[in-house]
Amino acid sequence: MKRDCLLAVGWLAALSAAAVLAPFLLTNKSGAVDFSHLLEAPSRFHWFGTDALGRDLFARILVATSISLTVAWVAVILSVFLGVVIGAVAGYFGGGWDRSLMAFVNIMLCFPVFFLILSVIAVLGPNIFNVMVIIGATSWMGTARLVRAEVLSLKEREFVLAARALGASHARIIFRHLVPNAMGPVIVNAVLGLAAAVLVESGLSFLGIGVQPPTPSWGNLLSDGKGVLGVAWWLTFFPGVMIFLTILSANTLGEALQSKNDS
Amino acid sequence: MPIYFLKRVLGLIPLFIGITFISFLVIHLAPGSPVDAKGEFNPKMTLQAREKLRELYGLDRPLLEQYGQWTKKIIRFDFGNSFVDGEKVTSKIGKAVPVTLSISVLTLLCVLAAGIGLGVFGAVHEGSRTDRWLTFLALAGFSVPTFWISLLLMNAFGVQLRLLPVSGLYSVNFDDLNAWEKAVDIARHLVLPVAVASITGVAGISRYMRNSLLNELKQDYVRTARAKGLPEKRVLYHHALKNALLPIVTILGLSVPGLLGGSVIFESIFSIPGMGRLFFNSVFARDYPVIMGILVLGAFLTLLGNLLADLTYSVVDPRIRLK
Repeated sequence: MKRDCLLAVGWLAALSAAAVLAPFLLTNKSGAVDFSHLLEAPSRFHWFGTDALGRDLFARILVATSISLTVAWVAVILSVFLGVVIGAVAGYFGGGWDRSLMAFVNIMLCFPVFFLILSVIAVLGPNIFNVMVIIGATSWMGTARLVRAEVLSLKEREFVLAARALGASHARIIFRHLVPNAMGPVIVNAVLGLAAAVLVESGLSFLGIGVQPPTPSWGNLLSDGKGVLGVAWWLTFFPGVMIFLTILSANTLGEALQSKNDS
Repeated sequence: MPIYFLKRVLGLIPLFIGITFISFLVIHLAPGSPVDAKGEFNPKMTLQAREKLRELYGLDRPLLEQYGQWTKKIIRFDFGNSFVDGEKVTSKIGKAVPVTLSISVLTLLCVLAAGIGLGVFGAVHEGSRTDRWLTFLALAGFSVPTFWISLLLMNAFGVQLRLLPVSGLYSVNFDDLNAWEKAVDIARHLVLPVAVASITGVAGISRYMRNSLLNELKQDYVRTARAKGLPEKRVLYHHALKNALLPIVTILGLSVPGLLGGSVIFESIFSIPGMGRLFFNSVFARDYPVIMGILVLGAFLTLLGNLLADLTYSVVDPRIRLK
């Protein structure tokens, strides 16, 4: 279990480093179209092979890593923000706030998420910004429920009473005293949410309604490879491995944190 | 029981209003209006024609009135006509539903059989090498993107080995085949899609089943059963497994959104003419009436699934009803 976690953290750290360093590692020529090297299998010169336009897949994947990770992180941060605010307000103020916000949560939970995301994209159009916002805006419900439950029990504690007696405002009580104490399960949810966000983004981009080419993302690289499936296995293999290992790592880490939280 | 049932069903009404309202808002997110979006595809559309469309869809009325009109139609199962070919939305969806439904049922059967089997095996052999491998495989299966697995399997079985067809539901010569050959043909086309659609479910259910059974095996009644000398098989299958299966019942109902959402991806990869592909094509064509129809229907099916899960659970576990 511990070894799995270390591997997971190592993979995510290496990816983040690669994503940040990608602009410095690549020159103008890397990932450029090169008609003398079309669909070449992985070799010493092109570690992951080249695509149908002779572009080096390794360079493309490096850029895609920074794009896909950015999309996933922004989506998760948005989702955590929405979940924390909505859950905390519902739990803290109770009464009508609680009932209406939780009704909203229940309604949102009725939609098959993928259907909702696709509908919004159909209306707003596919681009990287919309994808981030939509994934974030459709995945906060679990966090909201968790935070609400935590806040409901925390707000009865003495330290909240003390803060109130000292004249702290509602906002200060919520964000300085309640939310930090409820962060444990939220972080678990965020890590598992990262896995889900990577999956949804790559799924959308794979279908052609996520990140739009020529901007590479793991999903649209995979969809490029689909056309030459029988000829160039590396074009579907490597982007898929990136997605798979990232989701696997985030899930492993999330579950380890969860069992640590529970015990 | 009837009171519990009534309460649950009445609770659906506000949810249904919420669902339709949010679906309605989604389409009005469009900058400008749906008519402008449709106009993009047809630059020759005149101003008058746009006005006509606007009137046809009631887009010139106040928002709440539009919502009222639209909901009234929806209650009568009238989702309007497709922007693309003018076919009734209900007839379009009606053609696609049986395909997705039969694949979903097949998938669920596979998921239950494999998931429960693997889960029980893991729990009985807790801590063994096989169990550790199964646990890892379940996490991997849960994490693997289905569209990637689809491509790998298509390449392996369809392109390299030429064992299985990779797209559609029928072969080209389907009409010339006799009944038996027809069944075989469809079955061969279904192998890959159903296998792919089952992966996430099998991984999920086997983990759930393993934990649930392990939890039951720790209970006092199991110790009692063992203490009075019952054979281990009887303790396991007669006492513990029965109770461990209870939570699985609810999963059936709760798996509706996952099955529907997943259908978009694997139906477009394998070109299967079901709900998922219809939805996907409509998204590309910005065919709003179809999109809205499927969105509302999907939410409604999810709602029914949840209700069914709750009700079955209250039937198999009477303690629930007391709440």
